[in-house]
Amino acid sequence: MGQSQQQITDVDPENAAEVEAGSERGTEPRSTVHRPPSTDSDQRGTEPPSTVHRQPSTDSDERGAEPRSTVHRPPSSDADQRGTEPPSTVHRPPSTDSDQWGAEPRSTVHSPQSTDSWSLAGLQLRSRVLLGSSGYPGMQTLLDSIDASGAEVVTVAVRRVDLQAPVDQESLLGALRRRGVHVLPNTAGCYTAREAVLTAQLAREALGTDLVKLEVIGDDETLYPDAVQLLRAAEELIGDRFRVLAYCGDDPVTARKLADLGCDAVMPLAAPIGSGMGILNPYALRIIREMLPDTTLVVDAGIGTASDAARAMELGYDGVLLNTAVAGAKHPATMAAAMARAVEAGRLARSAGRVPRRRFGRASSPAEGRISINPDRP
Amino acid sequence: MSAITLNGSPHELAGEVTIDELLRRLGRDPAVPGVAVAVGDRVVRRSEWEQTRVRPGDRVEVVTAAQGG
Repeated sequence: MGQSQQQITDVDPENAAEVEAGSERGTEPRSTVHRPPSTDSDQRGTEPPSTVHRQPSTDSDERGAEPRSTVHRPPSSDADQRGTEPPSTVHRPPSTDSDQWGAEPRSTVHSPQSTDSWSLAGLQLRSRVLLGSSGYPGMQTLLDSIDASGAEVVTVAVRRVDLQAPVDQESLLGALRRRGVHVLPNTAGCYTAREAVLTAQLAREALGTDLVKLEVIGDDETLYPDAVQLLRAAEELIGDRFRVLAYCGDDPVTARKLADLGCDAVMPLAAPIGSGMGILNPYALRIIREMLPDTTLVVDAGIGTASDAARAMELGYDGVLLNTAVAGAKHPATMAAAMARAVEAGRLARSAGRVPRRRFGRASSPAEGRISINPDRP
Repeated sequence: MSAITLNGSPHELAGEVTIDELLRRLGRDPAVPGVAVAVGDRVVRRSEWEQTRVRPGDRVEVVTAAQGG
């Protein structure tokens, strides 16, 4: 390449990890390039085929009704009408539902954007988006959002059965199983290790899974985790052979303790649950990534929009877990689609090995061969 | 006392009853998956529902998956 070895004194050291990330310069990571072979992008006049399929935008203000242009399917009647399945925006083969709810259904969801696969607590996944199931305007919007995001893992809470309600209602669990996603129970609403452990045990019994997203809340306003109770619960659950995905604060010390205990994933928040503020402390998240290079790390909580998810992946995280950002959006399935693209983009960017941030400018056009109208300069 | 606490509310019980029977009396088929039961602080496995009796004074929780993040 002939790049001169300059002493780079103006590179922002905060950037170092991201600059060093990525493959050897000039070599594209195999799994990440999605375009027909050929068109050398250096060849003048040849445009690489666009990877974005876009139709003219027609925005809609009605919450729950997706603007036609951004979700690739014919307009659906009532987005919330139960039982109506609009054609999926993610091309998926029919789900092979098993009657044995105790057995983990094999995921049949294929994210069309990515051939990049990863392992999360024993699950083989292609999508790096994990979706929460709470707060959608209706069941159909939730299902549309799952489709649009490509999520293969959906979290649920464990709550009392409504014993007054009629029995023949479509259950959330039934709908998710039919979609073929992995159902991940959480311990939302628990404030002590004891509550969290019992909730996890009930979840295991009800859903037939050893996986649990562990949350132990320490404060009602910020919903920050109680680190002491969280560590206690994690230790007990791991001892009882759960596979723990631990939601934690952006404190690297607690994150490391969780990893050392044997959590299958450590999941620091970007910002308080439901706040949509995005990554408040990128320094801390970066430190956590550097301290725990071999731990599966997921940014969980506080993501507000697509760029937040992309940023999380650029920081080197293995996935993102989000709920409010999609469920609370004016057009949830549209935001879900955005998240899928953002997560892929962030991961690609990470693997590309970005340019460093510099304090000063650096001309990208050569100095050689410039014209001169100044008689003092030849 | 002739009542149990069922999902936080008092529920009259005529004597002891198994968890299986309790669910049937509530109009629920115990064979339907996706449900878990705790008596006191202890999860009662599905395989034990037929044998486990609930007594007046017991706290019983019947739970399932619900929307959550």
